[in-house]
Amino acid sequence: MSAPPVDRSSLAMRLGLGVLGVLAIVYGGVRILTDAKDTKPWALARWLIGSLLVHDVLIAPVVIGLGWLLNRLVPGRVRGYLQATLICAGLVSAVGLWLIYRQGKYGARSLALLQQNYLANLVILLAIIALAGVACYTIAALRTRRTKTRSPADQ
Amino acid sequence: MPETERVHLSSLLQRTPPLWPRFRSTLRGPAVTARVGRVLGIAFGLCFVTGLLSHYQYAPWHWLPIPAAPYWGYRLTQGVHVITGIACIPLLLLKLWSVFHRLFVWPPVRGVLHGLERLSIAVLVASSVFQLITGLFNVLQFYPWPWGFIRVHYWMAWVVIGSLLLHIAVQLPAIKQGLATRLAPADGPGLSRRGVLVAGGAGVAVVVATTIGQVIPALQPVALLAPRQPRKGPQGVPVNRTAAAAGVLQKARSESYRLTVNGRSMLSMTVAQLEAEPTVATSLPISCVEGWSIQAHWRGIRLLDLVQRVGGSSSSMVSVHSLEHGAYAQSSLTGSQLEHALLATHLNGERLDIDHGYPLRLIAPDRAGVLQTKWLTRIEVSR
Repeated sequence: MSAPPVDRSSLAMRLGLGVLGVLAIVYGGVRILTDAKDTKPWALARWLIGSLLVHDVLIAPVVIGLGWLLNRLVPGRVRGYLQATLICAGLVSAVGLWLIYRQGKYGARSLALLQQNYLANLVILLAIIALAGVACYTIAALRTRRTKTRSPADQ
Repeated sequence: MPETERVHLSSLLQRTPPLWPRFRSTLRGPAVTARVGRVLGIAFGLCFVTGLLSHYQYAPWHWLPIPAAPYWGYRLTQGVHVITGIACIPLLLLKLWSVFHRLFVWPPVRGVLHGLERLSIAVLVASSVFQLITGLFNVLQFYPWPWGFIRVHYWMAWVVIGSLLLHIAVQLPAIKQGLATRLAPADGPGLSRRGVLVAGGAGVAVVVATTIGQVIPALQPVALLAPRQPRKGPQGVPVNRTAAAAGVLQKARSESYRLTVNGRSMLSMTVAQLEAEPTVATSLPISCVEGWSIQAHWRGIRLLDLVQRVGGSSSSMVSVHSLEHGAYAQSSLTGSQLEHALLATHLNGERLDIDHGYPLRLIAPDRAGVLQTKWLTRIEVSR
């Protein structure tokens, strides 16, 4: 059996992209290091490692643990709709919580910044998302019931 | 090392250790990852290009000044920059969730190339999370770090886009395969892969819909997560830096206030003389580097008229200086921006509010808000 043909144009493109990528990383990295007075590379490195750890050690395990619990505790179709609602609500909260944190920590120092009650706003959004989840589940459940009640007559 | 021990070691590396994390969820997989990754890649690309355009506003090359047209250019590009940046936060979380199980592949490193690839992914994840969160903090005027935001955000953008390009180069065959793979239906009664994408997409859509009102004022009523409400502020326009914060309250209202224009000759004008000058009206946006923007009606003296009076022309390099001190106390303009620039005396039909730069502020098309210098007191005309 002959080996699959090598896609040379794709290989060249990948190589080109890779080289461009490495050059951009080196460019950014070197400028950060040469501009150390302003960029404070050591503090920056701590923040970068912290960014990685916050996701890999905190956020991801909590999300995956929650998914694991849902799989064990919540039965059948409800689980699918609950998972979808939680994904949507979680992603919206990932932005909304920062506004609440900032507002709580510093208040509105500026005339234009953070002039709403973001805690109330996030609660409203999460309530709407929860209602949408319940509505989707109810519609799907009603459809299934209708299909089931109709099916004997169709036969 | 004896032969038996070597065999033992290699078989250990092939077999996953008993306590090593195992992921059984069928929701993750290349079909989901490639689809989320495609959207995220486009958003990162948009964010990078619009970010470069914004950075160029601060220090344009002499031979390529910022053009005046389209007048809404910076409003569009910076609005896109901030909104796509915010939308990337949920998108990145979704993408990282879809590949999290790959963090625990066994053996962790198969060779030098595999090790380098994993290192590049660590750089991509760390720099992306960092860039998005610190970018959002900047929008919230929150700086809990010791470095200068603008430089680090700019240089780090190169690291992010570089590691993204490298990642695409390495993963291109897997990306193509993932995009060509149909989204398998759910194994059981739980969520399907399509369901993950719909729920994730809805989350991103809600974030965009509730923040974009800071760029499009008509959507302000639903802008529940927008850090700014563009219609809130004196004379219907937001203020970033008040006259009190800039320390110019007294000086801007002082009777000794003068505007001086220095070129081949010199002009010195009182507020009354400035107010007696002929004015023109225009409609231009204030577009903040933090993403919010609003169109407003301005009336003021044509800057070019004063420049010509001291012997300059539209090809002169003109710098305008504020009563305040600090990073944004002055800005420069030339070419078509200079031709269209006003020294604004009125905003939305009223005499300019002190927080908007009374007695005079610069307003020019396609220009970052921080460069629309307020509380002007001196104009230098060179070339």
